Amino acid sequence: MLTATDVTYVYRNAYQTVYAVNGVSCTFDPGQMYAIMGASGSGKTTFLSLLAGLDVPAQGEITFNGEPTRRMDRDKYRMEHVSVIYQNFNLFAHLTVLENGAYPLYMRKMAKKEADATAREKLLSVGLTEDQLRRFPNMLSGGEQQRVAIARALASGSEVILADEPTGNLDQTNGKNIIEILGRLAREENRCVIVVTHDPTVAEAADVVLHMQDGKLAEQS
Amino acid sequence: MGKCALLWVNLLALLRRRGVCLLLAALSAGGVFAVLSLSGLEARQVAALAEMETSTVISCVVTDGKGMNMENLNMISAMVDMLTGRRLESGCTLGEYVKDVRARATVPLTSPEDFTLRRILTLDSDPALEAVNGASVTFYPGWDESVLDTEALVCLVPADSLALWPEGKVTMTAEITGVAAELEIIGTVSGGPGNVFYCPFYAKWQAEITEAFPVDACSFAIGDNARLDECKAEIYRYFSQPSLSQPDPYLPFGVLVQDEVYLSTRQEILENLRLLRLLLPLLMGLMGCVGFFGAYLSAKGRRREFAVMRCLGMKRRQVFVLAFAQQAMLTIPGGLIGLGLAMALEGGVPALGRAALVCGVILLGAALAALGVTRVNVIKLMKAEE
Repeated sequence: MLTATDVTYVYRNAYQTVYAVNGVSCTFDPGQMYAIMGASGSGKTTFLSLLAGLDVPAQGEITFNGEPTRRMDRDKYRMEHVSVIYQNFNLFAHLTVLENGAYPLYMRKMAKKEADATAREKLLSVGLTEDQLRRFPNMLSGGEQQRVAIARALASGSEVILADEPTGNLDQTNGKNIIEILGRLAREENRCVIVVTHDPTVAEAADVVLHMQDGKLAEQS
Repeated sequence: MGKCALLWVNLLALLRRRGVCLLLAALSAGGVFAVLSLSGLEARQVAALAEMETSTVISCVVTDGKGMNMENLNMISAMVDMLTGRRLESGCTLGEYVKDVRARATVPLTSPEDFTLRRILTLDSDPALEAVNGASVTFYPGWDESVLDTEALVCLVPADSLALWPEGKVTMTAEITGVAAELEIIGTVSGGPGNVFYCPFYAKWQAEITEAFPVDACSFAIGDNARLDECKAEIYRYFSQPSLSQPDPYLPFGVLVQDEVYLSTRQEILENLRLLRLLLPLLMGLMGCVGFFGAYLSAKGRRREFAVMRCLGMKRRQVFVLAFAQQAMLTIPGGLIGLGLAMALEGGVPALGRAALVCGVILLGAALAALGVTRVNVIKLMKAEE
């Protein structure tokens, strides 16, 4: 589904050239949960951004269903096929939980009533209550906010869900719940879930674990 | 409908930021109101200037060489001719530059005894008649004031002496020339001196003495105050300024244009206008800049939101339209409030173009800010802590 072939990404400034991602090749399939682990600066977040279509590799190719992201409309790619979940949730502070969940559907020009109904279903499916849907994000706990972000990804119908340290701001219990939800999405809804993390408990829950070091893929287990 | 939903929830999100909304709307309203108020002030000053130019009467008094009112100047009729355009000396006439020419000449009479004759151009050119403003002058049917500017041998007589002239004619002899003339009575005068006849300024008693009589006073007004300088230059071309050092026997009279008050008031208005016209663009620029930076900072403060939109797949163009539309939705109603306030306080329709210009500058700020947020570093902002 999502394939990286000899992907290289370089940061340059006046003093140095850094190979943030250096010749990484791997394949991600639906129905699996992947964990990409590595120390800070190992290039895993940069690699995730390339997978999300937020940037393109300097060398090599990332293809989605056989088509290189370099040549596609990457805005459309993110809108229709890929969702990204971040450690700091990135919700719209002045929209209600329901509106946050339905936002990708509003972007797709879906009627508000229909978008809200779809978002409601997804928000309830990740364990939020009807009462919470009317609240604003700052009235929820970190774990609940992360559920909203996951529900937003679900509502958008993306086949690929990318998560960058999704449990980084959560306590152990909430972190575990979020990982369970992500795992369920992969296995029950046949989505391709790729999680960048430091957390070994995430790695334990993943079907495949990739280790990155100095921009290179060190090992796969 | 779907597009409306996106716009609607984003507008909702903006409206929920009450502080920012109020600030942007207030900036826009305040900017428009301030500019329109100053524009209103400018318009009133311009109207006052126009009113001054059209309605202020600048009196011009003809004097003798000593600057006094003219007495016993036999050339005065020639001067009056020039003022009224009767005499086209050098092919020119002052008719275009002057109005309301008033001249009065007193002709002492030897008969009828104790009577005086006044030759006048208009009814109000004689103070005695001016006092009653023509109200007590009664012309016989078929006659009116226009006869005073002719050569007709006619006269107005005091009403209480009418019985002395049963045949409707007065025979009078001028003291200076001793020439007698018979004047037809065409009306009566009630009030004022009781022993004065009034006849046309140009009445010809006899061909050879048309101009030989003393003049008491002569004055006129500038024809068009907007062309004051031109009028004065033209008038001075005809009449030399009084000068004791260079007496000119052929030009013994001069003209005083009494325009000091007019000129100082006009100068004051012009200075006010100059200041206003300096302040207005500055204020417009200032309000535009304040609105500009208000819009810019407001959008900049929401960069992460726009980064999330980009991350969710919104195109740069859509982010621009959304960011700009949100600012416009605050700027335009704010501007309308400012417009309404200005209309309520100033009255009438204010300078809409300037109001639009202020809003336009603010919207330009909004557009640049919106352009800026389309270029946010999505990856960096999405990773950044709140």
